[in-house]
This record gives sequence, structure tokens and C-alpha cells, in this order.
Amino acid sequence: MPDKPEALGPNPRVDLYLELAGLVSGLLLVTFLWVHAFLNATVILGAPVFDGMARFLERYYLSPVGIGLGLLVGLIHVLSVARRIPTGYREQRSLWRVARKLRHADTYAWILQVITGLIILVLASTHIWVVLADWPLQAAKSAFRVQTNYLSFYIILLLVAEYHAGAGIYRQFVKWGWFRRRSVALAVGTAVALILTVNLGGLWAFHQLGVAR
Amino acid sequence: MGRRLTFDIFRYNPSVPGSTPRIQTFQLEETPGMNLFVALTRLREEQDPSLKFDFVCRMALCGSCGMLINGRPRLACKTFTRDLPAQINLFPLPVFKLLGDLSVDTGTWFRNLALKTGAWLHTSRAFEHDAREERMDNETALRIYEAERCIECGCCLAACAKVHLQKEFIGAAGINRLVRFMLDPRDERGVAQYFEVLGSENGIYGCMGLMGCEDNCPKDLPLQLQLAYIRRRLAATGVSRSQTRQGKG
Repeated sequence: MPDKPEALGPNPRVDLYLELAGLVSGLLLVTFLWVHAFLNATVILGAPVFDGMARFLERYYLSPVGIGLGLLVGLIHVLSVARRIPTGYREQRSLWRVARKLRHADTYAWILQVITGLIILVLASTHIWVVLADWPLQAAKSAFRVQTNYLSFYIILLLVAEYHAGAGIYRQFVKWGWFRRRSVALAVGTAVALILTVNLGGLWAFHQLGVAR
Repeated sequence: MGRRLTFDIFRYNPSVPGSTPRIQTFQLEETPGMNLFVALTRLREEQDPSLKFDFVCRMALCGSCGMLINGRPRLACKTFTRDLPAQINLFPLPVFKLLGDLSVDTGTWFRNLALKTGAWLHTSRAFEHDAREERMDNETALRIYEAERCIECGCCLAACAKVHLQKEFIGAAGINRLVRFMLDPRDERGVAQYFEVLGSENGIYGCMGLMGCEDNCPKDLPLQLQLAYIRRRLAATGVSRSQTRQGKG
């Protein structure tokens, strides 16, 4: 028997840092997403309220700073969590085979989280591109988008993003937390339902605004 | 009259030249209170004496009879046929070396784990056979016991997609075993030393939170809470030590 056990890695702290980067960037993105939801929902109170909010954010440089930081944190998140994606054919086959045999909800939930992450990468980039191309923010412009081609796009992006965020915080709380899974799932589910309602309310208000004009 | 059960059982004996993997179908009349230990023993005694499977204790204590029952890792002695459909598929546990049919060698895997991670009590004190045993407070003893209830059947490893993706990942059984020594006041290793062993992609930070381990543990161990505990302890140490690189203590 060796008197000194073999260490598993040369410098194990790298894996801890990647784990923490994924955790912190993920939590920041969830915060961004939820703040975004409430700012967006100001349109429920009327187009002038939304436009006033947009001007306020613009005046204090909160928009460019928020979007810039969001992009940076998003990039860090992608870089730190992408290592988890099984990219090889063998890995994919292995993963699906285990998942199909186990028929285990949380394993499938993780696979769905990877898929939604990839969808978000494409759709969120499109969303940012479209909004920035039509800067500054105005309720009428958003309403026009929602009323024309973008309603289904935004509904898909919303559902996918909320799922990814919800599954992400659930998993992180389970991984780091003091609480049993059932309570975590209940709390996260409630929060996601609330934010989803706020977002759908905002989307509906934009849609009504479009119809009204 | 009980149901007529159909068993599709994986047959392959790697030590017999010319043996090829195949599925063999058996029929058996269900009897009251039948578990898979009873069913497999009857199949071997009445239908095919060459059928290989492992059992020792028949009461979920030895961890020998882990197998894939309709795709899910379970202890055969703890699984009752009344909880299963009439069609039952039995496969050996993945991850481990196949000895033949449903029998796998979990011992080698766990021995490698023990050697790799130093999964034994590390102490510089010489054993005194006539000394009185040291007392331990009840709370600590119970916490150690909660980790030590693991029978190392390997079901959590078979239920973890990460173990399948990354062969070096030691899984819940491995991490839980180290938790047991971390909690033990007689073990002289510091958290920093545990970090060297567990704080990597092959240890706790390889866990992706799939939770298959906890959901498939036949002993209902609180694996999620154990993994979270060690994740936090090691993270606190890892972050605080980040400025000064220390060698092994």
C-alpha cells in the first residue's frame, strides 16, 4: 500500500474556480433576467411609463453598462459551463443510453438544460442584435416587433430562458445548499412562475399596444 | 395463482472462450412475497444451473446483488416482483468488471478508489491494544454512521451519467466514503489535504448535480446533502488557500 495516496489532479483548484465561475455568472444572469422582466413589464402601466424608464436608464448610462456587463457575464458563463457539454459522439451515445435506461427526471432535466442553453445562445444573440440595431428603446418599436414577426420568437426565448434559469438555480442550490430538493424545487418553481407571469404580462401589453396603434 | 413472469436475462461469461452476449428468456410463476433473490434462485435451481448472480445476505446489507432491473440499478434482494410488471429485464451493473451474467466485480473498483483517495483512517498514533477506546460524542458518531451506512453496492455509480462519461470520476460512493473520514476526529488529515484528493473534476467538482445517485440509492442515503457539505467545505478551503500554494501537509 502506498503511504501517500495519489492526488487526483495536478492543481485541483482550477476545477473549483471553473465551478465557482459557472455558479456566480449563472446567478448574475438570473438576476439580470429577472430585473429585465420587471423593467420590461413597466409597459403594462402604459407606453409612456416604459419610455420614461428607457430614458432614465439611458441618462445614467445604465443601459449600455447593463447590456455590456450582461454580455461579459454571459460569455464567462458559456466558457465555464460549456466544458460540461458532452460533445463527442461516444459521450452523446453514452449519455442518452444511461438516460433512456434510468428514465430519471433530473438526468433528463439536465439534458434539457444543455439544449435550452444552446438555444438561448442563438436566440438571445438575435434578440440583442435586433434591439441594438433599433436603438434607443421605445415602447412603440417593441410593440411593432411583437405585433409583426417576433411574437413566437419572444415566447420561445422566454420559455427557454426561464426553464434554463430555473433548472440552473435549482441544480446549484441542490449542489451547494443546505435544503432538501423538494423545498428547493418548490421555491424555484414559484419564483419562475411569478417571473413568467410578469414577462407574459409585458409581452401581452406590447401586443395590445401594437393592436391599438 | 400468481402472475406468469417473463425474465429476459443478460447472459455472457467472458471467461469462457466462445461465449457471446445474448438475452435468455425464462418463465416463472409468481409466488406471494417473491423478491428477485427468490426468483433468481428458483431459476437457477429449476431451469438453468449455469446462471450466475451474486447474493450473500439477502437483506440489503452486503451490497452484492446490485443489478439493472428494468433498466434501473436496484438491489435484487430488496426488489419485490409485485412492484414490477410481468416482463422483467435483468442486466449486470455497468461501470464494473463483468464476471459473468449478472455478476460483477465491485471489489476491484472500490479497492482502487481506496488506494487512489487514501480512504482509510490516517493517524500517526500507534495502536495500543490494551488502551481504552476513546469516546466520541453521539452527534459525531451519528453523522459518521450516516455516511458509513453505504454498503458500496455501486447502484449510485450505475445511476450517474457523469460516471459513464468520465471513468475517473469517483461518484457519490467514492465521495461519501471520504466524507466518513473527514467527519472522524481520529483522522488527522486537514481539509486542505482532502482538497488535494477530492477538490477536482474527478472528485466533488466533477459532479454535475444530476441526482441519479440519491434517487437510486437502495439505502436512501442523504447523498445530496453529503455532496453539498463536502462541496462547501472544500470550496472554503480552496478559495482561502488560493493565495499561498501549499504543499502536502
